[in-house]
Amino acid sequence: MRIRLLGTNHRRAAVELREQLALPWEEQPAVLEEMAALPGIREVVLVSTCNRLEVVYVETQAEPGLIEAVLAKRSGLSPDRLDGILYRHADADAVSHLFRVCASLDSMVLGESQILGQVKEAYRRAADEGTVGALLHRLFHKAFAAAKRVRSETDIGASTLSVARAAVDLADAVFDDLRTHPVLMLGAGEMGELALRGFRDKGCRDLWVANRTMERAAEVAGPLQAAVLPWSRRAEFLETADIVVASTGARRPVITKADVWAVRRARRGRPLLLIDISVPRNLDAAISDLDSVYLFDIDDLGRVVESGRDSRKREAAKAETLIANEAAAFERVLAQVHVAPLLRALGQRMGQDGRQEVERTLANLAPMLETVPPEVRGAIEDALGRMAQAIGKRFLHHPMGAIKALGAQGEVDLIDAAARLLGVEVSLLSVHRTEDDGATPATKDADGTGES
Amino acid sequence: MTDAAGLLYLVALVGYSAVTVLYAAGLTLQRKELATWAFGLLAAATASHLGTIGLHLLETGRPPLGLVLSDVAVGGWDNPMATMAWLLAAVTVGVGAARPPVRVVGAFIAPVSLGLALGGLLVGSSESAAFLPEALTSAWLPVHTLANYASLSLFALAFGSGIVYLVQHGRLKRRAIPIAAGGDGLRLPSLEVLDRVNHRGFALGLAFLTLGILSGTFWAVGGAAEGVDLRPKVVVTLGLWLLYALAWQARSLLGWGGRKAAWIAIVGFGGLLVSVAFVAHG
Repeated sequence: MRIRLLGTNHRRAAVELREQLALPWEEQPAVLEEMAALPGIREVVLVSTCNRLEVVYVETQAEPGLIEAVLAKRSGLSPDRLDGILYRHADADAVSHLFRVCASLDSMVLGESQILGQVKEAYRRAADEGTVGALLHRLFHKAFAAAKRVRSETDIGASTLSVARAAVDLADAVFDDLRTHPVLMLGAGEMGELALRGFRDKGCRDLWVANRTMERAAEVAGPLQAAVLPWSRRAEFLETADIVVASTGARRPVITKADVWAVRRARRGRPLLLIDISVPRNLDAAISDLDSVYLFDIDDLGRVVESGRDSRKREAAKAETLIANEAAAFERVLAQVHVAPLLRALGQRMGQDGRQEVERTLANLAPMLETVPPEVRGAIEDALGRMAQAIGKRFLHHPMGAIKALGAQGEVDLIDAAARLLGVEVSLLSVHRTEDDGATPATKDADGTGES
Repeated sequence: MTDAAGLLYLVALVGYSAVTVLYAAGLTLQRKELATWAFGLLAAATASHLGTIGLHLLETGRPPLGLVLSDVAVGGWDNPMATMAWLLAAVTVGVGAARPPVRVVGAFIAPVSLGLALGGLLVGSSESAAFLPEALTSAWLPVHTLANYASLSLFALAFGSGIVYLVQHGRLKRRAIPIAAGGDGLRLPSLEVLDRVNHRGFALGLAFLTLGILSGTFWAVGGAAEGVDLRPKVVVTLGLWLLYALAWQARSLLGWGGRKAAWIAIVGFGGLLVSVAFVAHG
């Protein structure tokens, strides 16, 4: 039984590929179900954000390529193309990668906290769908706890330059006084909301929110003192808005080049800044061809924030050390998770086999024992039972000690080999949820900046 | 020129040269501290040049005004080029000290100031200042000259901000803005600020050019000069004025701001330099 992780991120795949791979929230239950039903796949958690897709799963001798086949089918990407952008990790590497992701060490914006909330959401979704077992439960809770340690014990998030902040910086490159420029947010996603809050903090007072559902738009607009714009009026409002932030879950562009072209005369050459932080992208890339229109997508924002990365590298180095220690500790825990059921199964089998042998022996001796008084007969039965147990214990003494030692060393593969050698079927589902690692899956981060 | 004035002029010249080099290095290497030093040095060079002008005023009792857009060649220390160099630098320092500061424009103005200051050194001759022709004693002459100086300076400012606008526009279009808060590099002013500086420079430059043309006409028809005739420099200047007025109207009526306005300012300043060349060659 092995923990595996495959996925891609903003460094491995351009936004065009990521948007093909992105799994909308409403489709995820079906994908989880499909993956969990694959032969040899025991547990699955799926993390899909703007910047990454991660599939974390537990398998027992599953055929290679099963998960990839599901992704290829869903995304329409050829297996070769997919192969070129995917990374694959197993066991310790998978654990380490997941820990790094949760701690935001693998994020576009180093130290941002939104990814942790997103992974928690993904975990909760998988738990609700019943595709999380004891192993992934432990793994994810350890990852959440490690990420929490990173945030509390390092300053990596103290000066986080978020994608939302980068959007405001870009606006500063185009406009002088942001207070005088109307900002329109398309969609009511968390990232867009953060960007809008960034603009409000910068002094913008002319804020608008357009969303397919007016109720949700009003929900977001209220605390920010923004106005709600009917979704159907978004294109004509381009005549007024100077900054547009798009963050919807739409699969197709919600603003086209023709929409922007139609308002060019009315805008009289005023610059228009369009920031698309959605994956798939919501703003037609061809808009960029128009004069006085400046379009940026999530990857562009990533390059903007890259310049602020150096100042956080020192803290990141501390965080990496912390994460490596946490991952190593989990490896030992993981090994113990394998060891405990194996030892228990061995003990149970030893007791069961011993009892069977004692019963068979007593059955063979039955004619002789008929003449023996009952108290003597009881003593003989007890003696035989203790002898069988003692032989079993003595026989297993060395193997069990060796297995415990392997557990302490984190040698998961050798423990699995020992289990096969001893012919014991180990069920990890019997592992109890013994500890609360301080992470509640439903918890969202307070500032939640970064990935969307 | 007195020794002190000459020394101050030399200091200003060295300053303009250093500013040009520092700005070029700052832009090439994307080092904002170089641009900051360049601006400080520009302010110092401008102050030194002002010292020269002040000493000249004390020495001769009149400001060092020569002629611009005129074919009357005036030798001496009060040549137009030197004063124009100072005016350009002073306007640039003023814009750089304003809110929000637009200091990077100096990168494109400093070389022009340097060229004019060097030119002034070559053509200037303080000895001839005392022998002004009678035509140059008209009251319209200082107005004409000052207006033309101011016009050229303001068009130069529009030219500089136009270039920076195109650079910033290009960066944004290439989606290659690397400078976020806390990042290293040379942060350029926003497009909006650059367009505003361009627009104001252009509009005020046009106003002063109009005043220069009107005062020049009054000077000419007043009989102190040789009267109005349509020599090449007059035709070129009037043609430029017409084009600038049309461009200004296009901005007001058609919204020709931003990139179009930047190009107009660049081409317009080039045209003015051609006009100045006509002055130099009659």
